This record gives sequence, C-alpha cells and structure tokens, in this order.
Amino acid sequence: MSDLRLRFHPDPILREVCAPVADFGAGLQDLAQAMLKVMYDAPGRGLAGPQIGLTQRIFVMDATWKDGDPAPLICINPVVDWASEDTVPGQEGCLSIPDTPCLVRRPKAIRLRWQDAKGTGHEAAMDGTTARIALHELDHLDGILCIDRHEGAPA
Amino acid sequence: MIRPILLHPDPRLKKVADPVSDLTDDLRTLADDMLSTMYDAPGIGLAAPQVGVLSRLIVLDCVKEEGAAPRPLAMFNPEVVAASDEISVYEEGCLSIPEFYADVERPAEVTVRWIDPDGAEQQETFTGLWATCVQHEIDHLNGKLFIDYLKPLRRQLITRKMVKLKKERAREKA
Repeated sequence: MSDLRLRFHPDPILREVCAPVADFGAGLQDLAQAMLKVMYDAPGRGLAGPQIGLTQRIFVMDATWKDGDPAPLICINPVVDWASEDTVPGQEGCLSIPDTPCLVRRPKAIRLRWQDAKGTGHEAAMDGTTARIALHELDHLDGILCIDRHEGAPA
Repeated sequence: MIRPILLHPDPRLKKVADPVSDLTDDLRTLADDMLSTMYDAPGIGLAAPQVGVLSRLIVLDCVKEEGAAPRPLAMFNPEVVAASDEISVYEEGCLSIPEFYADVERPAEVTVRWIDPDGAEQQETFTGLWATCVQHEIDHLNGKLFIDYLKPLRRQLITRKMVKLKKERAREKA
C-alpha cells in the first residue's frame, strides 16, 4: 500500500528542482484532489509535489479555507509573469518544517500563470496572503524552502 | 535486494496466493527483500504477489511520525480472525497502481493471526492506518485490489490509464 505521506526537512527530495508536468491524464486530477486532502488534514494552506515525494511541478493551495471560505486551487506548471517591485515581510510556516515560523520578504503582488489538472491555462493577479502562499509553493518546485529566505530571528 | 513491483493490470495480481507450508530461508530472504522494496518505493505495505511470488506473505510498516522508530512486520499466512463493526474510511493507494488514490471503507479494527519469520504464531489487534494497511495487503493474497471496491466506471478509467502508463514505462526502458 502506498500513502501520501508528508516529507520533512532535511529530506533531500525537498531540494530537487521539479520537472514540468507533460501528461494531463486522469491520474493527475486524482492526485491533485488527494493532495488537497492531505493539505486540509495537515492542516495547511498550501502543499507542493516534493512535500509528498513527487518531483513534478504541481502545487495545491487554499488561502481562505481557514476563515471558513474554501477556495481550492490546483496549480500545474506555474509561472510568475510579473511581480511587484514592492516587497513586504510576512510570517510563513511550512508543513515540512514544523514549528519553525520564518520571516520572509516577498513581492506584494504577482501575476501567476498555470494549468489546471485538465491542462487548461489560467492566469490571475494575486496579492496579500494568496500571493505569499503561491510564491512559497512555487519555491518548493525549485527546491527552495522558506528557511532559505528567512530574515533575522523567527517572528 | 530491491525487487521490481508488478503494475496493474497483471494476471498475477488477480490470483489467490498459496499458503506457506514450509518456512524456508528463501522465503525469509524474500520477506527482507520485500521490506527493502517497500521502504524504497516508498510504501507502507507490500504483498508477495506484487513482486511476482504467489505465496501468502505480506510486509508492512505504518509508523508515520517523523523520527519514530520503524516497525517492520513480515507476516506469513496472515488471517483476519475478528473485525469490528465500526468502519473507517481511508484514502488508499497501491504501489502496483501508482498515482491513483481513492476512499475505501473497511473495518476500523481487525485482529490478525500470522506466522512470523521465526515460525512463531502471532496475534495482534490493529487500529487506524495499521488496520487499513493489513487488510489492503491481505486482499492482495486473495487477488483483490483496492480499486475493486470502487464503482466499475472509475475502476475501468484507472485501469485504462494504467495500461497507458505501463506502455510508457516499457518505452522508457527500451
């Protein structure tokens, strides 16, 4: 039996650069739904492929479910088209690095392009927590963790 | 030694495995190999038919907490001797059906009797993920996969997708 178990830092898989998803088959929708479930169970607001041992460019997120307003998002092959020059520090946690809040400076707003599980292209402007989560997850796909970007002492 | 894991659909995954009557060193080596194969995959359970051996042998280790000591179990001739009325649902996956996951309902608690690698009879009651996993693995010994619990349409979809995946893997090897 296999199991979507969370991988924890310093698991080397968290340092791999993920490969683009090329095959948009039935398995992908299934996998994305399973990832969302792992994320909600954790509980977290974002989960990237490497965190469950999958080195493909896929992440799931939901910036608002903890406030009672679920908005699940499946992002495959995500690309940041634009990022604001304005940056803002914010506290981040990571399911793969428990109990280690980091202070990370990130762009205030971004424009993100991605594909859903069917391969359909999407594009959206994001700001605030949504942008922060997307950038944190995107970092995972390049083997970057929030502890790498941490500024100063933990908040 | 890590052994190759058979992928669904494969006729060997649909067969009822034979009871182990003589616990040989070969079978003990197989159990060790299966544990290595399972950890390498990575997985939390593996049944002998998944490595092409039609004997009633399963291995499992469902310790989940990071940093906790592993608990590798090898069970010969495992048998569920009691099951709870209470049901639990778990999103199961299978090393022979990679990337597919689906909710499966099973008894939440099961008592299993088996022969350990030293030939001693053991009995234990499992709960949680252990209960799910041991039932999933024993199913393999009876030619049953977790997708057999799903609606036919979904099962066929997964099987079609797996046929495609196997072709791709065969091409990569060529």
